[in-house]
Amino acid sequence: MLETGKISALQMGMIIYPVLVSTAMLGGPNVMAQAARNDLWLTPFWSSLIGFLSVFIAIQLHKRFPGMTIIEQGKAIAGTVPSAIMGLLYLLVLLQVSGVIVREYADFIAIFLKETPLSVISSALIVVCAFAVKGGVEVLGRTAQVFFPMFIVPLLLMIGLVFPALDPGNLFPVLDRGLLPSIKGAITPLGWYSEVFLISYLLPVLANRPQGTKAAVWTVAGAMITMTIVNLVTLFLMGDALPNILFPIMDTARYVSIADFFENMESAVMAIWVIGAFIKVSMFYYATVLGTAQCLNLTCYQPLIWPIGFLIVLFSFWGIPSFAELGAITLIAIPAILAWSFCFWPGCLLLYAIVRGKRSKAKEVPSG
Amino acid sequence: MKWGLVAGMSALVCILFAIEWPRLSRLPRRDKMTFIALVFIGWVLSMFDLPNLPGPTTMINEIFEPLGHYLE
Repeated sequence: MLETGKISALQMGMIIYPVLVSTAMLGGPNVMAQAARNDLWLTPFWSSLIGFLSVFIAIQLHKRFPGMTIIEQGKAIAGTVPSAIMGLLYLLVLLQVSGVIVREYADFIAIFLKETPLSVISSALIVVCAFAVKGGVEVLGRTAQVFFPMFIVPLLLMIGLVFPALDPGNLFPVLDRGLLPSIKGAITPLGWYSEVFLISYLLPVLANRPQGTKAAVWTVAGAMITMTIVNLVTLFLMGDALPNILFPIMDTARYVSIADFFENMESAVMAIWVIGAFIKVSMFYYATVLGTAQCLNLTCYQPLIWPIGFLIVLFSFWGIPSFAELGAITLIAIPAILAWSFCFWPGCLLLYAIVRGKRSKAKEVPSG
Repeated sequence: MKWGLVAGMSALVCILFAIEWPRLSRLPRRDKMTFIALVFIGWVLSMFDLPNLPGPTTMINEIFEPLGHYLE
């Protein structure tokens, strides 16, 4: 086995939660409000369904093939040659998605650091993430655990501070155009929720495997609740203007002004986003590196970390000339490829394994 | 072609080799080849004007764009 570290189910949840929420928190309310208008509070519920489905698929695959990641499971189910082709395609998707996340991060940070070239911002993130990935899954788990409160507390604090300005009247009329707009608004978030399938890389290294399912389900539920709260707060504060505000959470933070002391809270949002992006990119980076090593039957994954980091930085620029172009592809194309590779394709593998009655021959001893 | 970029990227590749080779030299041939191939792909890609070059995102966009129109 390439990864020898162990993490707890709680740490797995703390890694996956920022993966689901960090992108969603920043632009999410705006994206969902464009289709769903004032019914955007219902949207996270619809999109989280794919999250629960992805968890179910990952857990079922792991029950049939314990101790294996999706790449190894693909090998066991589909045979060497088809799985090698699919594995390489899969890794290309992971590489490209990591690139897009890094680019989103760099473009957002560039709002604050106007003179800094994007390549410097993205390389800096990749270097930090590379050190985390180099430490293995245990370091990922620990960093996620340390950063988790720093991710949650500023958000709650901010919501508390804008609380007096909220106007629940913006919620009405509830569902006046039926359920369809709120479902349409769920298309982009589908991609974010299907990312929970990355637990496939973490389930084999869990020290307490029986708790894995519970942790994963709670993570998706927690992400859904967070997103609903964020949507409601931004809707209550901004009302009809929400579909026109690119980063609603940023403007919510800017709005905070209490006793001339609590002001310019957008730096707190930036801090949340930096932490979230760090964990999210580290997880995708780790999955890409580990997946490549498993796909090519290498003896260890550490030597691949720097070359793949180099490629992620390059992929964050490839074919994306501007911020507008990035916005366009993250609306439909990236969520579609995420849902395809994290839900549809593993689902097909699972069905094939069930139909052919395939499961792991060796009964693995539960570790811990 | 910008020679500064070529020199910079080549220097980066040299640094990557300097960092990883001591450990890599003890590993099997397959590991070495993968490392060299990945670094080489990165080095070649970095020579292009990537933002304006059609890439994987362009392809994904081409495939899924009709879906976006359909959903609207």
